[in-house]
Amino acid sequence: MGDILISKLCSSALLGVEAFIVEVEVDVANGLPSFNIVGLPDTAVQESRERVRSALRNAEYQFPMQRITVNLAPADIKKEGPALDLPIAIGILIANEQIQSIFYKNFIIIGELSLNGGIKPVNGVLSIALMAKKNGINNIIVPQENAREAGIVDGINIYPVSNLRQVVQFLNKEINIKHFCVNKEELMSNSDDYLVDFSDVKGQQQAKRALEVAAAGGHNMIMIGPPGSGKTMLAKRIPTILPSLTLEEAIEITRLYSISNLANRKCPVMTRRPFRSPHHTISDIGLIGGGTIPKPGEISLAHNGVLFLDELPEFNRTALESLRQPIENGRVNISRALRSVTYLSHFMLVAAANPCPCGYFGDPVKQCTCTSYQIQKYRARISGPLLDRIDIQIEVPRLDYKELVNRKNHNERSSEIRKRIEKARKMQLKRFKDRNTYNNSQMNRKDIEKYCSLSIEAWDLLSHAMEKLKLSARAYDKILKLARTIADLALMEKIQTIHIAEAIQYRSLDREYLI
Amino acid sequence: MNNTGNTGEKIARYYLNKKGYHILEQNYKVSFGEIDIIAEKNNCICFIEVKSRRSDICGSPEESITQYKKNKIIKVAELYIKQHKIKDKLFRFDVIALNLNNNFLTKINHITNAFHQ
Repeated sequence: MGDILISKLCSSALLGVEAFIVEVEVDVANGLPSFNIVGLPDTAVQESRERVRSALRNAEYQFPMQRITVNLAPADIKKEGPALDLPIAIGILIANEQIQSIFYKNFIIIGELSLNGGIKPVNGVLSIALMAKKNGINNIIVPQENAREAGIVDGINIYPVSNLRQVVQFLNKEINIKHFCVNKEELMSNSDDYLVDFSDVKGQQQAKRALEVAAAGGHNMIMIGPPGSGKTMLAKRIPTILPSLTLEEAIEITRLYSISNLANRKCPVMTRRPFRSPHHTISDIGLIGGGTIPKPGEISLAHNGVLFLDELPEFNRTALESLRQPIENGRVNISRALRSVTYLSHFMLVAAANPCPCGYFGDPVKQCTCTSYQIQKYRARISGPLLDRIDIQIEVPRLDYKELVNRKNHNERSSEIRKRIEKARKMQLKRFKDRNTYNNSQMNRKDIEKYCSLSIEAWDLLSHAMEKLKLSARAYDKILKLARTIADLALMEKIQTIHIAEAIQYRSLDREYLI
Repeated sequence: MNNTGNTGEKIARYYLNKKGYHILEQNYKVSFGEIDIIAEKNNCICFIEVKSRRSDICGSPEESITQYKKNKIIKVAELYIKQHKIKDKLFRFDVIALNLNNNFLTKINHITNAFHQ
């Protein structure tokens, strides 16, 4: 008694999608009994005082009735969330000499405490595990439920724990906890049990082909057609043909879902490409991400997957315009007074729209009832710059009644389409090996020059189209990227004239339809 | 005079003596407040608030100690520690709740570590 005891151990907190080390210092000194936490804690961290107090008592440890000061360094970054409960509790026990060993030095400890001393899962464990590895910290104590998520990271020892007593006994070397290993292949194995299939969609061969190309290269796409022609039905079936994820892609997605508290606890690693379809009343911030402490928006949650915007003209104009930068850059930088974070957002935009307010403009059967002014106003809602960023623009016309009831027509199954797409993706992955580029739509100018060389005839065709259709420089790049994907689907190394021709015809809106 | 309170404090002192506490002060009064009993046991100085009630009609004695009262006790305790230059001791805030019936004790509840700063 009488001497001042300070304990120091490592934990972690999140800053956007990145984690950083938090040093938890606990000082137990004589004085009037009090418990203070300093170092910019947010409300959840402040409240951890009550959780720690109860958890320690209920796990039958002594809570020192002395002056307890907890410091969270670095003291200038705000720490949020309950993940610091466990390190604070352990720190108190060390300072109070209830844990004797110095075994905790090379550990990161995270976990939320429940009042009975149990340990609950926390957010962002994958980011924390990756950060630990980067900083050369080999051991990490995580809540049991988070172990699978942390397990994807190679080269660090993961110790899953489920209650406070277990952690204390482990640190005192009274018990041994086996470090956790996951079978990555089993984790990444994807079961293809979808309720829908492309063979459900009758006809619409052109649209299906366009979707195949879009999915193969990750290209943006817009479908325009009258109501009931099958736009939404087609879009709903996109997940069934999306190529499987690489481990790197899966980690990128899982990190975003983990910090947004959207990860599935049983199967925390995202093994399927996300398909997000927000309602058109979504706010700018809901779409892009934001808040006082910026959280990822729908575009980031659709990273490496599909963002489907049904009824595109109905979306808030500012929300749509804010899509422009992320579409081009594949990342979005959100700046707020407190902090600024960058979230990845390499998504494939799929949009559906009607050609006019009544929906039947250009329909061969039903007469359009809109005035030209109405149509003009409706179309002006989708701006030119946004449309310019969409590589594939197709019409989805009314389906003929005969085609709908014709049972003889062969409709390809999703699995067949997916096989072709997987092959095309494999070519792309080989091409961009070790480059953080996963598909053709992510190519930059240099890549285009390197991989999209054309024959003289193809050049002629493209320059002719550029002149006739008055295409922008961006549209030119987009056509080349698209042609690259079409050639990949045909398993050809060189882009042929027919590939360019197909790519050009996907820009139907630049040709005549909208604007 | 408030009889209930005085009787209660008397009983509390008796109780503490029996329990092996050494009583340092009773009714330690300063300009901004008062501590009923200051006692010591096992190198730990206890600041004790005694609450007595004749009936539970107006609530139990335990719940009648408000945050305002707690803050006052903490302030007085700080002053006491400073005045007596106490070092190397532990401190504690206790509550002793008593139920009385015709000056006879019906229930006593000693809450150790009842509150903190």
